[in-house]
Amino acid sequence: MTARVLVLSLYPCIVFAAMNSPAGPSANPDTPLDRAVKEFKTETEALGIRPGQINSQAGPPTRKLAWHGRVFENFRNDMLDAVPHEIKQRGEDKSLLQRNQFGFNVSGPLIIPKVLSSRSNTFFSLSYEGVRERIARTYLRTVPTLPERLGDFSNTVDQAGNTLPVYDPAATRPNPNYDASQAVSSTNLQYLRDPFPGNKIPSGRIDSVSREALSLYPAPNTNVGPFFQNNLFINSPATNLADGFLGNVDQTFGSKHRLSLDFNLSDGFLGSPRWFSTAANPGAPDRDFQTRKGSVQYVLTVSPKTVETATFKASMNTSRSTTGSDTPFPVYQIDPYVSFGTGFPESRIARNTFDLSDGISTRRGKHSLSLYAEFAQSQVNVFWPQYPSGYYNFSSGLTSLPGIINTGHAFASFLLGDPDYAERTFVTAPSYFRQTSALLSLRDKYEISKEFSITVGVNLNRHGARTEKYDRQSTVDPAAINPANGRPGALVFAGRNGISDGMRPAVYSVSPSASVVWNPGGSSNTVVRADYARSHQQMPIYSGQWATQGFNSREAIISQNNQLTPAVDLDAGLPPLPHALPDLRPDAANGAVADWMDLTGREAVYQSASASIERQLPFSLVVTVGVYYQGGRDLYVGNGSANPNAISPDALAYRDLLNDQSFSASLRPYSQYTSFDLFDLYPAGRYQRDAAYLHVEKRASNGLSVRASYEFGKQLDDYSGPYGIQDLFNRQNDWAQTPYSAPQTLQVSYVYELPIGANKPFLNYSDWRRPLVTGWSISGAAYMDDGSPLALHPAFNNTGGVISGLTVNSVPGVDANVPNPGPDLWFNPAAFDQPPDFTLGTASRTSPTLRNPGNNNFDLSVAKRLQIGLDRSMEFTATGFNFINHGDWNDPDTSIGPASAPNLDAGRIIGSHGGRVIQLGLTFNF
Amino acid sequence: MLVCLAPVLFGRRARSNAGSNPTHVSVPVWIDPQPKSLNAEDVVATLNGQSAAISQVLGPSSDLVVLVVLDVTGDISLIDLAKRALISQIDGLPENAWVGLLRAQDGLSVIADPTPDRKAITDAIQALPATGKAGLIDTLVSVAGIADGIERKSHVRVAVLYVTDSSIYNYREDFTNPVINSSDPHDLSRRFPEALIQEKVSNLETQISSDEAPVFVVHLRYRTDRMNQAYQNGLKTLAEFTAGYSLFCRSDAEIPDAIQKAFAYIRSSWFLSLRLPKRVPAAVQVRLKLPQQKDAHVAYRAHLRLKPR
Repeated sequence: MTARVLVLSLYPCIVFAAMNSPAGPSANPDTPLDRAVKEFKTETEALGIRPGQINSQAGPPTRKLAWHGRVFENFRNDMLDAVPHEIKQRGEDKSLLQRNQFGFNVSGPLIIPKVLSSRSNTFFSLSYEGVRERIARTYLRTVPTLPERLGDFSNTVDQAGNTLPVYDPAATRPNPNYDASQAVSSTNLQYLRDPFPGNKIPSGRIDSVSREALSLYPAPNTNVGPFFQNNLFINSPATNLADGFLGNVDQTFGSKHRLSLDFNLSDGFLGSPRWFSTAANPGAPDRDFQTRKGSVQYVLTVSPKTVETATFKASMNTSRSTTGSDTPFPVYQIDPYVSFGTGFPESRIARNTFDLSDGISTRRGKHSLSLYAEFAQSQVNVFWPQYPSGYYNFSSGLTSLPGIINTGHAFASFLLGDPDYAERTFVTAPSYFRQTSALLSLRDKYEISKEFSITVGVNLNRHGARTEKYDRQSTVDPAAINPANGRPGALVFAGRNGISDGMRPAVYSVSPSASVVWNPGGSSNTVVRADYARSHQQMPIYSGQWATQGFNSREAIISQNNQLTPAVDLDAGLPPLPHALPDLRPDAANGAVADWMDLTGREAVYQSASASIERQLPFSLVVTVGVYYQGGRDLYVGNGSANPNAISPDALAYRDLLNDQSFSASLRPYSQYTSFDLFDLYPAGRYQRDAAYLHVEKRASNGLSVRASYEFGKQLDDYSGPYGIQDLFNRQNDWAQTPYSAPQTLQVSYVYELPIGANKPFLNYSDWRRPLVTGWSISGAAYMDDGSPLALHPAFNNTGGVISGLTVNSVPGVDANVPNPGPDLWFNPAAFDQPPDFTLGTASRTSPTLRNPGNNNFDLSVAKRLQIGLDRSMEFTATGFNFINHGDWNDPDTSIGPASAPNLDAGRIIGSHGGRVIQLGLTFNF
Repeated sequence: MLVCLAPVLFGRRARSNAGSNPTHVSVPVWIDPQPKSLNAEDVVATLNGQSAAISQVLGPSSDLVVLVVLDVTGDISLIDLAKRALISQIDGLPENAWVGLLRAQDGLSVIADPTPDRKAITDAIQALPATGKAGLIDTLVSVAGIADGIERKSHVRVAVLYVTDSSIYNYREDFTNPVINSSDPHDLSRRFPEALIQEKVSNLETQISSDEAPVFVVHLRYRTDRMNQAYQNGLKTLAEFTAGYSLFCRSDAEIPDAIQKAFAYIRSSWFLSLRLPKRVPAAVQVRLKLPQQKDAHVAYRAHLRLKPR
């Protein structure tokens, strides 16, 4: 090793000593080759790149100061754009857009007078970018009609256009003729309840809080329909400000050492669009961002065949949101109408990561070995109260005819001040979460023969559990006995009673990988590749203060029967917490929604395998055909896709009894809790993707280069989608196509340097026309897909809360596809039906044959480059995003109603979206 | 306005061949099938449509200087293969082919002056470390200028051979336009991220338009991401602009073949020195024909920009 280092440091001297020896080339100075050497020496000396000149302050000052970079401005304005389709369809002719993006980059040798000269081999790069933008955001939503605001539901209809009866909860009484042995139906009602006369709520019955809140709620401003739906069009500007720097400094020390420093500083502000101009605005709060990143990398060249790299990275991302109000408006959820108020009105989060790694690579015979070790620590400091002023959910149940779907109205329940669920968040202090991970990676690439090589590797991981700086963590432990009822499941706290700081164990895992590369017959035109890899994903730390109950609190009050009794009286609001915080009793979360952290130590596991053949063809073409498989198990899923406290679907046989919370609670595995919050971190999901692809690349020739990629794939899983899954006890029943995954995609990009002007075949002028015709290029990108699978869902879910992701029924013998799908009819809704009350749907979670209209996008950029001298240029670009002004259809309405009240909009598409956006850019390069 | 200013700003670029301006241009040529000999009268040459006399022909048996520029910063296994292949090819060169060695990563530096001493060169290649920042783009103008100087002063055949494993992400200068403000949700300016690379390639093309030596590129690791494909396309464009050639290796097995092909191409080159007509613009368009070998494929540099000798 020592000998090698010595050779390395002395090799320029050795070479030059040999060349300047009497037997060297300088012996005969008259031949052309000698003249060539002489000229080489002259030229390289003038550049200051000969040994002895590099890093020397005494070298000749011949090398000019070489700072390069650019100054740029990108400009967008609605004057240049097409009016987006969704705006035009609402009868408007303007969508505000004012955007300026500007900045610079400069890089070159770092010079500090008397400290660093241009020859000290220190280089830097510094970029700045600023953004000033106001941009319209549009939404089409539904709010109550003016009569409804006054309690008049006489014109309110269901999805089929039939009058929707609204019942008076105050007039509820048991039906003396109810036959408990029969299902509840309109002819066998369990409870009797009178409709409001004329379907109008008397003015005196309207809750005072509701009445006051309505003064902050907007009236309809459009009528897209059908049936008074889609009557609020919001077109409000968002503000986007950002300033950021990106830079690095790079220094070499001799030929063995190199040190580089990188940093990124950025400050941003996103001013959210205002849905309403009042304090009840449900739009997201404004948000400030701050990014600070830095890294130091040291590279040691131990020998020409051994290199070591050590890196330290640190980053800090902070985000703060605020509504600007000390007393944010509570959230009133009134589906399907726009809600009042917003969640997380005041929040702060800081994510800090520190990452130290060291890797060494070496070549030994036919083996290339690498060893890599990494240790990382994450810190997430978060203050994240979701509903500090309270959350109230209003459903149709309390104004319905109990047990009968398609009766009652959530807004009527709101007017009466009768929520069926209420919640309030108490956060006493921010949480300071910590997490570590360690990785040791080994890899060996072995050249078995000239045309065949194999690489094998293994990653050894240690993923630490999340801890909290002050041990303010908790979860429901299914093994702990709850003192309130003696059943399994009680709150446990980190660092207390033998519970570890992280509560769940650290996870050790081994992840192998292997790949082979084969050139059949030694041909350099064909390459066959095959890969396999497996990896484990550490449980991430999301934004939020999940699993801190006892230190913080989520006070939840659930109606005992959401068709009979409200959760709370809106006038009275939520009661105070029964126990002061911190409340570290094992039963502190009883009766509430408890946070459930998986304590088993399972982690998400991914694996992939692929095979491809790459073939080089004439005309600079490279074609790659390949197949791949990707899969995963124990993927982290949320409340809609997993529930350790779920009631078995077999319990649907109890029918209307399930509406009684006391009864349904008795069926839950952990009856002391109404439900669990898994926070998208429950390891239960599974997915698989199988795909084949064709890539065609035409490398640059005659100024044209093209990339095209087509993929045909099928992705299935048992967890994703907008409505959750139906059968939590048999996940295989929910194994269906992934809703957001289009089976076919085609992407094409191209660059064409027009064949005119200097050094080109056409218009190669040498006079004043030269700069006008030189430097034109066109770039384009296109994306097309054939749509992703549709998730249909029933309009009503009368399963007593047992099934959250109810699917629709398939109607046997009826084809769901229509001959010429269009906005008037995209699919045949008659192929589906609302499942009967208290039964599961028979259709799959996503349709195997129906897809949404898909997306198409075509971007085009025209650039003109103007050379100014040898090393300066000005470039003007005009870019059209969606330049053909194509409008993509919106998704069809996938809500399926019962035969008695079908959703007349089902299968139809309302409107399209998208529009051409133009950006003009000017860049000065130097 | 551009139309009005153009004659003032750029009109001076068209100039006559007078005073200290050049009298000759040298054009590298490849002929397939390779003729046993080639004389000046075998070739019909025109410069911008005007007939041009051939004053000198250098062929595969003529003196040759190859400037090998190593720009290797990544996978040691690829670099080791490339070094072995390079040494093998250099060892096989005829005596009148001298090799010089430069290093491009972390800035250009001379490792060995052109020499017939194969051992000195191979030792230097073996000892060259493989770390640092990529340097091909940063050094191309200087290396092309050095080769051009040699070619003009000594009347030998000269070629530049870059052996590189460079990634566009491993340059000191920023060509990738990374996201600076991650909070900016409506940034469309990076939808065509290869714009900076294209601009740099165009700029380099302008800067080396007067250099007459061909540039060859053997890239040891072909990358398939969009930015590196644009970069690799740029390298191909630049090499072909100088009448050179680029080879991109998609697997280890291709490396020895690619380096062997590059050397074979370099060794088989012809250099024709064309006398410039009396009045010729600075931008020269070259046309060559071999009337006696009509079926032969003739590859040569078609565009040059004159510079004073």
